[in-house]
This record gives sequence, structure tokens and C-alpha cells, in this order.
Amino acid sequence: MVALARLAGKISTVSTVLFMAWQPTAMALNETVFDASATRFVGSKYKDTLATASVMHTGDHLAESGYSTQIMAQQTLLESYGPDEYGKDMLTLERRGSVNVDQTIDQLTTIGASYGYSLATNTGKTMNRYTSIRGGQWWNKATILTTLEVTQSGTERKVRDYTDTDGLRVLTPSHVSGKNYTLGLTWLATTYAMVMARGTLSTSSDRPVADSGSLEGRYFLSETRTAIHLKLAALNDRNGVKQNTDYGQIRGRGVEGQLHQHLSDRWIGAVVHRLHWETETPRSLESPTIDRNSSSSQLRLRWRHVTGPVTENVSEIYGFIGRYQSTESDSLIGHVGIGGKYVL
Amino acid sequence: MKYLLTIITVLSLTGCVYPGISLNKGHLLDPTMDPAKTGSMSDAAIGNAAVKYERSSISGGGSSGSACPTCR
Repeated sequence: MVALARLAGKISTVSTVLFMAWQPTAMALNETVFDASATRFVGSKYKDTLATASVMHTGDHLAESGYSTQIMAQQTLLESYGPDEYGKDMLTLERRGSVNVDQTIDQLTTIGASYGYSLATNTGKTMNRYTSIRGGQWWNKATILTTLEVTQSGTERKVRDYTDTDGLRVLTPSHVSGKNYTLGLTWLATTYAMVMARGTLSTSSDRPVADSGSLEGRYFLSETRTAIHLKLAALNDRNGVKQNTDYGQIRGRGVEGQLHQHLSDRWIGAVVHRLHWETETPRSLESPTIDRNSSSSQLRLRWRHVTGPVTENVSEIYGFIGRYQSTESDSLIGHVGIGGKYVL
Repeated sequence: MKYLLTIITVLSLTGCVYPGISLNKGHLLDPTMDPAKTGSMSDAAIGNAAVKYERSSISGGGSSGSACPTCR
């Protein structure tokens, strides 16, 4: 993995995480996963308002279910237009290495296009490709950002032929294609409050058309250096479950709250709690409708290698411990993990 | 003292809370607020636990949905 990233030159970021889940009632280890990935920002060039960025990403995923590796190459062209003082700040920070190229692209007034490929090999070779066009525009004295992204993707994979739990024979296709249309809104309401909204229409050759959306608010309490996040999310499949789909028609709702606390310049603690409600209408009339409700909680502790402004992208090490419980399986799953991000 | 507090308050409200960033977007980059610094940390690990039984998450919806098969 590291060697692959080095093919493109110096590695920019290496990320690793070791994740273990267990079932306390069965006293059994449920899952162990080790993920490692490296990202190389091959280069970015800025000439007047035109910018190009090249990114190469490689990842390895080792779990009990098998091993997979992923390679992604991405080329982005963007045109930043209009006077944008914040854009100049972001470019200055990016050149200093304080923020990365994606952050710069996401937060500028831009229009751009990108494409990429990925390859996974855990259950037979799977090839994914995508082409994306996106644009962003800041409004109202650079406090409101609207974005529009259209992505076309395709997947080549091994055909699966099996009888599902509802008795229906499922024959998954070897080629899946789809399009995503995403409209995003970021509103910097005050110096310390931001609101983000996102709506997506997804089409896929093996799934019904799906509408999904999320609304998130974040507030920073400067006196205590605390951040509070609240997120609502929903997904609705429209009619159209086919025989080649892996599962039935889904209606999902979720709410998640997070509290992040600076304990010092280098230490940050966080508490996350999430509730999820879901209904699956089965493919065959004989099968009952399935309701799945779940709750999960997690404690996190981060240590960041801060040497300059606390806002910079720096290396960090983190640990987390949490629990997850679903009504469908009536099982309690605990998990614990440790990981790190190394900015080189 | 009153004037000092007023100056600090004005500077904070105008966004001069982070060096090198003049607009009020500066708070985006705080490691507790920036989606790029909070969202990429252990969400994948949470997803490993959360998507076991939840199919809207697999489809890219839900509050942890990030593995959308038609997304990049």
C-alpha cells in the first residue's frame, strides 16, 4: 500500500484504524478489522483563478471476512471565479500545508470535474469508476455556500446467485450503474454557528430510486471550547424493487448528537449518541414488513500533534469505545478501537 | 478593563479568532467543528458496527450512511 502511494511521489497522509467488536452476552469476539490507507496529493497548481489538483489514494482493509485493497486516482480541474477573500486565505493555508486540497476545493467558489477508479478484491474483483461534475457558489458576503454535484458511477463485479431469507432467488447483476444528484447548502449563521443541509437523488440499475437528505447544525461555545453537533437524516426508496436487488424497499430515519470538548490544545474528548429507525418492505408479499430500530453511543479521545495554530491539519492518535444495539438481532455489540492519522 | 473586554468581543465577533484567517469562516477549521477533521476520524469504525443490520445506511442514507454504492 505504501509502496503504491510512493509510485506517485511523497505520501501526504497515512491513516490507520484497528477496530474490534464483541458480543458481551455470547462472550465472543464478533469482528476484527484493520484498515490502513495512504493519500498522496500528487500536485496542485494555481494560475490566476484556474487550479488543477491530482490525488492518489490507496487503502488496505483486513478483516475476518477477507482482504481487500483499493486504489483511487482523482484529477480535479476547477475554476475559482469572483472576488473571494476567504478563498485567498484558503489558498495561502493550502500552500503552507495547513489544510488539504479537498478542503480548499470544497470551500472555494468553484466549478470542477473529476474522475476516479477503485479496485477491491475481497469477494472477487470489483471495479468501480466514477465521473463527477460539481460547482459551488458563495452568497451573502460569503456566508452561504450552495453546491451542486452530479456523479455517474459504474461497478463491475462477480455475479451472485442465492436464495434470500424471504425465499426469493436473487441474481445480482455483474454490472451496476447509477447517477447521483446532490444539492448542498452550508450557512455560516454566526461566527460560531453553522448549518449544513444536503439532499440527494440516487438512481441505480439494481435499486429503486432513492431520495435522501440530512440537516445538521454545529455550534461552538468559545468560552468552554466546546462544539455541539446535531444531525437529522432520512432516506426513502421509491417503488421499484426488482428481483436483482439485494434487499427490499427501505424507509430510514436517523438522529445523531455529538459533543466535542477541547481538554487542552492537544487533547480533545467527544461523546456521540445516535438513534436510527428503519422499515423494510419485503420483495415478496408473503413476507412481513421488518422494523429495525437501533441506538449506538461512543466515547472518543484524540491527541493532536499541535505545534502551531490549533486549526491546522496535524497528525493525531485517537481511541474510542462504544456500544450498538439493534432490535432486529436483539444483540448488544460492544466495540473498541485505536487509530491515527499521520500528516507527513 | 471594560474597553479591553469590548475589543476582545469585537475581534471575536468579526472572526479574528484564528491567525491568518480574516473572515468568520475561520471556525470551520477548528478540529471540533470542521467536517474534514471530525467526520473522517472513526466514522468508518462506527459504520462497521452500525450498518450490520441497517440497510438505509448501506444505501447512503441514515445518519452514518457513507458507503453508498453509487457514490464515489
